[in-house]
Amino acid sequence: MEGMSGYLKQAWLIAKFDMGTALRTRRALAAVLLYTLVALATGAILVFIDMKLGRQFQTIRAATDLASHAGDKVPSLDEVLSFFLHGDKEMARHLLDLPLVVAGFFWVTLTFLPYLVALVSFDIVNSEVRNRSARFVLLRCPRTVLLAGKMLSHGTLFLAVTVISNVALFAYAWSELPGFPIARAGLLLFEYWLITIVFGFCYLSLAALVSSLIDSGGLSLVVLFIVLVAMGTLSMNNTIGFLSPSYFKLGLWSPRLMDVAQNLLAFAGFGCVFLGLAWVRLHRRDL
Amino acid sequence: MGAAIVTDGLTKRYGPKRAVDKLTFEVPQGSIFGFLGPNGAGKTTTFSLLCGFVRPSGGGATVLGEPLSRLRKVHNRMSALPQDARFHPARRIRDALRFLGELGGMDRAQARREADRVLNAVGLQDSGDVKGRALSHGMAKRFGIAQAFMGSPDLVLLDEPTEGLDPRTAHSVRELIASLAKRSTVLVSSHNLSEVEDLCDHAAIIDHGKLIRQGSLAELTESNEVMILTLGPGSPDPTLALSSLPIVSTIEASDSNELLRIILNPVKGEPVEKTVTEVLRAAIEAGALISDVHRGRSLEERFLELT
Repeated sequence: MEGMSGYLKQAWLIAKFDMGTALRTRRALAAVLLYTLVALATGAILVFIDMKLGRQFQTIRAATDLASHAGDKVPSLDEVLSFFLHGDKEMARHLLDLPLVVAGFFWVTLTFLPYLVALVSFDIVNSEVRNRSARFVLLRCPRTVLLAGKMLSHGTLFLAVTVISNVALFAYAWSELPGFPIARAGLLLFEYWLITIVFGFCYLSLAALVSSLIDSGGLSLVVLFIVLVAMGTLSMNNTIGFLSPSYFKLGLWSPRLMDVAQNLLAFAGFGCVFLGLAWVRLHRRDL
Repeated sequence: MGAAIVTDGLTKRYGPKRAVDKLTFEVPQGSIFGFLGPNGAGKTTTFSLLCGFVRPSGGGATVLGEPLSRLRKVHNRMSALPQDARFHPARRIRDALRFLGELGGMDRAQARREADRVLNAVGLQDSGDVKGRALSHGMAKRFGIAQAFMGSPDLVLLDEPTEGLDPRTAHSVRELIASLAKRSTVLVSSHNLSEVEDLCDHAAIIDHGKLIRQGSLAELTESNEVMILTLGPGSPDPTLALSSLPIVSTIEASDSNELLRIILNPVKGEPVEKTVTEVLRAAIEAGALISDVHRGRSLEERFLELT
C-alpha cells in the first residue's frame, strides 16, 4: 500500500483501530466523560449566574457607562476590564458584549483542554513503543503513518468531545435562558470551536513530542503537566513570554479577525514545531 | 538465483558495545536460511535492523532489492515475527489480525479470511476472542507467527519461532515454514539445531556480532567431505582398504575402532553419491559389518566447533 492515498488509508485504519482500543481501555472514555461533565457543570453554573445576575450586570454596566460619560470620576466597566487587557478597550467591550455562557465555556476550553489532552494523550507514542506493539504495525507501514494515525485518532476524540459538549451546552442554555441570542451564540460557538481545533492540535502535538522523548508513561504524564504549568508561567513574562503558546491565548478573544488569525497562526506554528520534533525523534530512534 | 537479503558491513553499536559488527552475508532468494548463534550473538538485533525497527550505526543492507532507508517500498512483500513484541492488551486477537491484514493492503473480506486461516494454522482457532492481555507466552508467540504468515509475502523473517512452544505446535510451525519453501524466502533463527538442519538449505553462524561462517547446509556440515561409518561388533577393520582409495584423504578411528571418520577427497564434478558408494563398496569388500552411515558432521558439532 504505497503512495499518498495508500498512506492516508493506512493512517485512517490505524486511527480507527486506536480509537476502538482507547474506548475499550476506558481510560480515554473516562477522561472524556469527566471533561464533558466539568464543561456541562460549568455551563450550568454560568446559566444560573446569567439567569440571576445577567440583568443586574447589564444595568450596572449601563449605569457606570453613563456616569463615566457624564464626567463623574467613576470608571466604566469597559475601562476596568481594559486595564487587565493592556488598555485594549475594544477587546474589553467585546468581552463584555459576549453572552456569558459562551464566554465562560470558551474560557473553560482554553484553560482545561490542554490538561485533558495531557491526561488522555500522554502516552500517544510511547505506549506503542513500550510493549513493542508498534513493531507489528511498522512491518506494514512507515513510522510517519503510525504517527499520523495516532494524531488522527486522538484528534478525532477531542473533536468529538468539544462538539458534544458545545452542542449540549448550547441546547441547555437555549432551553433555560429566556432571550438567549441563539443565532449570535451559535455563530460564536462555531467560531470558538474552529479556534479550539487549532488550539487542541498545538497541545496534542506537544503530548506527542513528550511521549516520543520519554518511554515511561507515568513520567511522560508528569513531565507534560510540568511543561504545561511552566508554559503558563512563561507566558506571563513580557520579554520572552512569546516562547510559550499560552502567551497567544488572550489574542484568541480579540474582536479583530486579523488578531485572532495571527494568534491562531502562532498556535499552528507551535503545533507544527512540536509535531515536527516528535516526527524527527520517532524517525531517528530505535523501536 | 539472486539474493533476497544482502548485508554489507552492517553494524549496530549500543554505547561501546557492538551488538552487530560489520556483518556481511547474503540470503539467497527462495531459500530457507538458518541464522544461528549463541545467546547475545546479535541475531535479534540483526532481525531488528532488517525489519527497520532499529537504525544501523554503520554499513547497510538491501532487503528485496531496497536499502534499509526505503523499506517502506517492500512492506507489502515482507513479514516478520518480532521477538518479545506484544499486541494491544485490550484487543481480541482475531480483530488484531484483521486490522494487520487490512493495514498490509488486504480488503476487509480477505483480511477476515486470512485471520481465520492463520489462527487455524497456529492452533488458535478457538482463541480468536481472547484479548491480548490474556495470552500466555506460547499463545502470544503463536499470534506473532500467525500475523507473519498472513498473505503470501516474498520474504518472512522469523526470530526463534518455535522457542517456548509445545512439541505439537512447534511441529505445525515447522510445517508452515516448510510449506513456504521455494515460494518465499525465509530467514529463521533458532537454538534448535536439528530443527535448522531439517528445515534449512542455507545458514549463517554468527558470534559476538560477527559472521563466523555462511554457506549451504552441505558446506557447513561438510556433508560432501566427511563420512562417518559405524561398524558392528566384531567387524573386521576396513581402514587399510579404505586408505588405499584416492578419494579418501584421511581416516580417524575412535578408541574402540567402532567409529571411522573418513575425510573424503572427492573428484571435482563427480556426484558425491558416487564417492560414498565407492567407499562403502571398498568397506564391504574388506569384510566390514556396517551398522550406520552418516554423511558430514552434525550442525551441532559444527556450531560448537565454530562458536
